Amino acid sequence: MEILKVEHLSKVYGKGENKVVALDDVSFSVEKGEFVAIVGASGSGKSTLLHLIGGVDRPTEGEVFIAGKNIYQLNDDKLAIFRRRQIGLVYQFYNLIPILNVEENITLPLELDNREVDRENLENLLKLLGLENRRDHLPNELSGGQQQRTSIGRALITNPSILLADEPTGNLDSKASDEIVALLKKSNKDYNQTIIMITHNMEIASAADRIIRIEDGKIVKED
Amino acid sequence: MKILNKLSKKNLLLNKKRSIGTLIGIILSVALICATVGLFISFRTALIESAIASRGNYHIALYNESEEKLKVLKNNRDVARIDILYDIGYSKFLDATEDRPYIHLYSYQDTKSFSNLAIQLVDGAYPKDKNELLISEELYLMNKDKYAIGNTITLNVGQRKTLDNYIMTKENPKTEEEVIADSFEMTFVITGIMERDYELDPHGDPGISALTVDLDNQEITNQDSIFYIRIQKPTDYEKTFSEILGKTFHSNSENSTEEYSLNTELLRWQALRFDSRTTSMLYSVMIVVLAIIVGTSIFCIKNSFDISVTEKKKSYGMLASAGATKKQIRKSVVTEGFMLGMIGIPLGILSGYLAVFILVGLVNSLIGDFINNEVTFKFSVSLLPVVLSIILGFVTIYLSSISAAKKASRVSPIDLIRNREDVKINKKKLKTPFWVKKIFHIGGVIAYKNLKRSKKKYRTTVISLAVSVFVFISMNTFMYYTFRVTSTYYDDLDYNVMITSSFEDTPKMEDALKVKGTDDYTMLYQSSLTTDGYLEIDDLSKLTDFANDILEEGLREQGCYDEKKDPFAMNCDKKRQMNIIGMDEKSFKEYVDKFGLNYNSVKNKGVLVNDYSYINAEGIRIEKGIYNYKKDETIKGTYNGSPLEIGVSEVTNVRPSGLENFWDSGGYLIVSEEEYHDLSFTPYILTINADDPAQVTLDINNEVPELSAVNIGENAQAERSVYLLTAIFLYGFIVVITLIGITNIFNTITSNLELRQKEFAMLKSVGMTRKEFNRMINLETIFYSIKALIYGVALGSIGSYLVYLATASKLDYGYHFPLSATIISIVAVFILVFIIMKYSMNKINKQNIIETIRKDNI
Repeated sequence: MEILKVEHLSKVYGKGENKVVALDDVSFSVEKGEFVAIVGASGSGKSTLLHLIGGVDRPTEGEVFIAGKNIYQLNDDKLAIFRRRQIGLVYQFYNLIPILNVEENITLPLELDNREVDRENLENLLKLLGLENRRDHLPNELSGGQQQRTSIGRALITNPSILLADEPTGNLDSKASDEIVALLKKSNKDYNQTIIMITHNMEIASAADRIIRIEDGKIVKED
Repeated sequence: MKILNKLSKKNLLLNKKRSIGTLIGIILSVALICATVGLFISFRTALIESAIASRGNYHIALYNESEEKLKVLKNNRDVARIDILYDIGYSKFLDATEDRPYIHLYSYQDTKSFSNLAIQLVDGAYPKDKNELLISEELYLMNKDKYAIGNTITLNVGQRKTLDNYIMTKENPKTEEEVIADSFEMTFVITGIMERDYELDPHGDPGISALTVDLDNQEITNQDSIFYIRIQKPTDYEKTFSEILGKTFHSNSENSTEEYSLNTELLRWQALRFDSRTTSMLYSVMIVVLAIIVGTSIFCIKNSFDISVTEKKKSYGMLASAGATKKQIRKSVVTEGFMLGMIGIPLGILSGYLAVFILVGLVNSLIGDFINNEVTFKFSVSLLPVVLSIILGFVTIYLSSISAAKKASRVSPIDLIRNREDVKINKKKLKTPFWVKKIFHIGGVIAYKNLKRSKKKYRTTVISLAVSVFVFISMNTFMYYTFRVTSTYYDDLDYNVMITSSFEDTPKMEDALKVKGTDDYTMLYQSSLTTDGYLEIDDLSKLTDFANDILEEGLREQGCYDEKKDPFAMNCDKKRQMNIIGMDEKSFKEYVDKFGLNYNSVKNKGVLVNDYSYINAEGIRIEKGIYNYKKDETIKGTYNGSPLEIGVSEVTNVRPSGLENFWDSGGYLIVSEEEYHDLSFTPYILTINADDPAQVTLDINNEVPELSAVNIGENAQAERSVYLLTAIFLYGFIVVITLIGITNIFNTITSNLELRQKEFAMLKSVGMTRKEFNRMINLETIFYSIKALIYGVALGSIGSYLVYLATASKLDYGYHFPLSATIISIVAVFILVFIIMKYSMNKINKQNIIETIRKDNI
């Protein structure tokens, strides 16, 4: 099933002399359960693409369909609600709410939606993340890797259509990086979770099923 | 080193909003200090000029000293000037009356003495030499044709002597057997008319005063003299007066004796000579005011610096990691403070002076006419406010920036890298109250957790709010009691001309009503029987304990309980004498209307004015009821030897027009004069509500010269204006202090929200809708506003009680809880905080989520 479809997506910043074309007529689609890596040099437009898919920015032109829904037809509020139910976002740094502990950060999307937390689901997730003993800790008591794992937990708790990760290992050492990648792979295999991950590291990209390369705002090579 | 200065400057320019916020705080604080000091100085100057214009420019007046003494005084370097007045003598004159049979001639020795000693000129000019005469207005009014300016007047001036050669002075009224002895003739041209000067021409002096100047010594037979001495340094008055008097003089020595009298008003303002109660009150007021200003300023400015350091934590971390020493970082913060001070303090001083200028203009337009015709409230640029503002300003900034600097230097590179937050680690799991989650959902939960775990972030906001509320409530209490203490004598009167009688006038009082414009009047009557004209109550059970105590004290003072005294020589009967006051019919009708009574059913009853107020031995004002009579009871007593019963229609403390400032330990029973005509009433107090009070007063005084009508309206207006002025100053002060508080609160709240931008962007990216986000922020606001209000109101109540103890407890007013001020501050806090929140949130909501998350805090 086609879980994501991107059609003629463009993003232009500024005007006239200051015009920057970040994305130039990008189109592609992703099937459910795929683990996709988007690679490209710094400034190639990969982050822009990810953010447009995630609905945290609006395109200049083009459309994005997630699970069949044209997300940019939604108004801001509906988009926010859609996002918390269907999209999981992981960033490079500053992911967590500093005054909530691990468990509270993870269940945040559910709380926002006023949904009951399925305790069994949560326990399994904490086990997967390796954070059972850290559930009461605040972010400033966690290492970088543990913080990132918590972010992933938050992204996964709602069983979203897509999990989007923007350089999730960029801030971590090699050991923690490996842990994160392994975690992503596991959730992809065990839960059939669709994952789109941005990285500039080819070694990490190789963990994915498919690599999309972007250069100067255009897709150049598909695997 | 230079790069750090450059950095400081850049920091200030880049963080424009923060810098401006701090700058505003500095300007307001400095302006407040400057304006307060400047106003006190202007005020004092105006009061000094007013004292000089009304009493004269001298400090001490010596009576009847010799010529030798005069020489000694002239040689005293501490004496600046001596104005000499000689009492020449009395002369008969053709238009003489029983009361005023003579003209009393005085002479100054210097033409400047007239203005120097505040002789008020009504018309014409002061005498230039001994051929010219200045007469009192009273004389002119007796015969306007004869005593007009330009006319000649001949006097036979001599001393008043009795048969046994006793020389009569101005304290002695005219006796049958006295004569003018040793007189000599003098002729003058009348050059001017003066207002009656009650120093020269007191009540009871049989001579109408007239002044000339510079008589030769041989013409001065009577050596009675007054030397008006102005000293060089008023503040050294104790030492100088001691020299002048030849004996030790203290600040609390008598104001006037037979030897001398002081110009108390001028000394009060020039030499700051107050009675001890006023001095201590003034000191406590000054200390409180200064403490509030300095305290609020320091708090606000320190806060601004702390905020700016917190916002730039990353830069300080980077500086440290780049190799800047702690000392260098501290210096850069202090330099920023110094730069802000260089801009803010001069601006503050200018604003302060501008405020004084405006306020002085306001004062002049409001009450300029009433202080004194020649005195305007001047705007004077003096050095003291400037110096004080600069010193206090820089000290405040320095102290504030030092503490912020220490904080900045403590940021280590590690903090920068780790991106650590100031979140308190609670060892136990923080349970959100079940109701918070149920009612407010996740927004409320996050808000609640924010408050509990990030207490430090809110601390300054909560403190700022609480302090502002505390100051507002305390100041309000201060104002409330200030207005009651400076009690309004003329307040809320419904008349503007008043005539009180002395027994000789009374038949003429009714003549005053023939004058035009007197239709709206109230005439009060008292019994013409001087000793028995009271309703005597001997039923002591009808007296309250308070009244019984006063009765006992009065008898004791008379000596009734002293066995050594002769009991038959005194009246030691235990009874209370109730004053019966008659009222003209029309006014009585209006009076009883006020109480909602039916005139026809109460016209033969009386209204009992039952309160009495006096100042006891400790200087405390006591006000209580005299009688136990209740409405519809009957008063049984004796009037002029015969029993008399009058029913009580109302018991009150509301006095009829004219009786507002009369207090008697026997109380007053107000009855209709028509009904009780047979009590031998005679006119007592006449009050008129005239359209043109000045004209009516003048007309009455001219047409019925035995009467002395007073234009109360003028005094009332002056008093009301002083009241208004005090209100303006106090409210102005509160406003500025509140503004400083608001600036502070604005800074803290906006900074707080700005620092959490990333957190907010994160919440939005995870999927919080704008509505939920707003609700979360609103809840945070409500939570800490309530917290701040609880502290603020509690502290405010304590502060208000302290103010009460300091100012009003002496006057037995009773503590009045500042309810309206409290309610105003609660409402104001919520409104203010919500406005600031809305403003900040508008900006936050407009921001692009993703750009915020990727932005670095620079």
